[in-house]
Amino acid sequence: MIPSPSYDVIIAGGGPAGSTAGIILAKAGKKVLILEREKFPRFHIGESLLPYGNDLLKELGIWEHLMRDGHIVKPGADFVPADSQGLQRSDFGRFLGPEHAAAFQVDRASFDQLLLDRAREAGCEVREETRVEVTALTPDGVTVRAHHAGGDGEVSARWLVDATGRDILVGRREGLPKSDLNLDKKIAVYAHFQGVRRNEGKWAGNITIVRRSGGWFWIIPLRNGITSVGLVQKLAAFKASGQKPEESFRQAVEDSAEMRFRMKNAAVTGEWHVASDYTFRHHKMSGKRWILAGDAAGFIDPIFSSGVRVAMQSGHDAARLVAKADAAGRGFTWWEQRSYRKSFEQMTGTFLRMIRMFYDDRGFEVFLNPTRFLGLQQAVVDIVGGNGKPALSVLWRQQVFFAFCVLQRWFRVVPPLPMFQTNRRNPA
Amino acid sequence: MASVTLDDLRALLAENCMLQTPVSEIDEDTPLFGPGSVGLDSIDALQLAVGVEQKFGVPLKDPEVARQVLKTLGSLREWLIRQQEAV
Repeated sequence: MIPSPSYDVIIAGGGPAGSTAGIILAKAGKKVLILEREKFPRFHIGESLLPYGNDLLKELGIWEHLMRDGHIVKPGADFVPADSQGLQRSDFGRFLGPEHAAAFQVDRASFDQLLLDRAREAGCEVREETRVEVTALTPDGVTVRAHHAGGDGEVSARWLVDATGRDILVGRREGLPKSDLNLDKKIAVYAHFQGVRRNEGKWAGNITIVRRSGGWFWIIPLRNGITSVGLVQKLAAFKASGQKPEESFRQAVEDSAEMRFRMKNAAVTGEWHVASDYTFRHHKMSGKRWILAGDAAGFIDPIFSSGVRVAMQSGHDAARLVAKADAAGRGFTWWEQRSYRKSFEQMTGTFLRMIRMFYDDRGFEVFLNPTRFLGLQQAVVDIVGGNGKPALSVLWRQQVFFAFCVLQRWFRVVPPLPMFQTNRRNPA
Repeated sequence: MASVTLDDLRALLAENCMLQTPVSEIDEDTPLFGPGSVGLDSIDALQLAVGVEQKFGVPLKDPEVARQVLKTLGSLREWLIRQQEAV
């Protein structure tokens, strides 16, 4: 027996993508059920927000809460080579206008809790510590089995939003095709620290990315004197080293003048975490009655802190699409599905080109050489700030910047970094 | 703890370089060399390197390092803070 739909929309996953979709759908008058595997608050990685995400935080009504709760304001992003010789400081306020002059650094335990509470307030029913299993996806709706310590139950709805993150609920069930986008698999080792050296003055809230050979560190200042520090390296190189995760972190800190400076008085305050992060993107992101949002749709290398930005935007877009199709009393059209996927690909594609530039030694040299020439610096800061859909005037400048990055392989467009001198392929 | 302010570096710039831009308009992220920049040349760079050593007691002799460090006052400032600390 198939029970009659008891909800309009079931959202699997209560992270930023799921909560965002829930808030928008509940506000649109839909009856929404959010099923979340964990009990919030819980630790999560991805602590640095981007200024172009501000508009959505305001639309969802959590901007004031973030201000009130005293989260660190992030006025820019610093990119530094491991030997400290050089700095690319992206100043959001200078280039991105007053609405996007800064973002927040957030501990995700409280940020995600804030969003999920907001979804509850908006009218969503939220069940935590509940695992979801899809039992039926039909042209008219969905049925899922919700597993909870208190007992299992079957629920139906006209729509399913899959925001299960790395669990990839529907993707696994349907065997959806995906691509690794030609990026190496990575492994991240990270923890929260006290006593990490921060920038002085107005730049104290910046994220700092320390680029080393084959990988990088993030340094994200959080509330209460906590700093999140993580090392990202290629999975293959990590395995070949035979080191334990914590050992490889400490070794990499020792090898870098910048990290020794930052970590001189640092002490771990919580547990060490390890995540094997790999880039992927689904080729198919929706069906007649279901849609993927956030990491469940695709995840790209976290170097430009794009995760939450992409997750919330796709949660927003997915919710809008559901509301529209539901009002028309039909499933998603072919065209709607295509434009949703295209939009996701465009946003992640913008970051992907920057990511490829970043991991290329020659590209990084150009990146570290700020120039006001042709307004290129502004075009680059626009991507660092998380603008997934830049205007044409910015787009062509970005093309010129990437062209310089490629040129640097054969000509010295900008001075080479001392850090890369020993492994230059074409010593001049 | 030693510290280097933006104004210290603006003064350094004004003392050692032929500036066409008012020094107050030069910010931490203003490019100093190349197209679309403050427009300093190699002689300015040399004098800046000497000035850094005189004013802050930190030698800046390696041209490869100088090229990276002297891109903006911001990069110079962060580098100087680290050098002073290392002593």
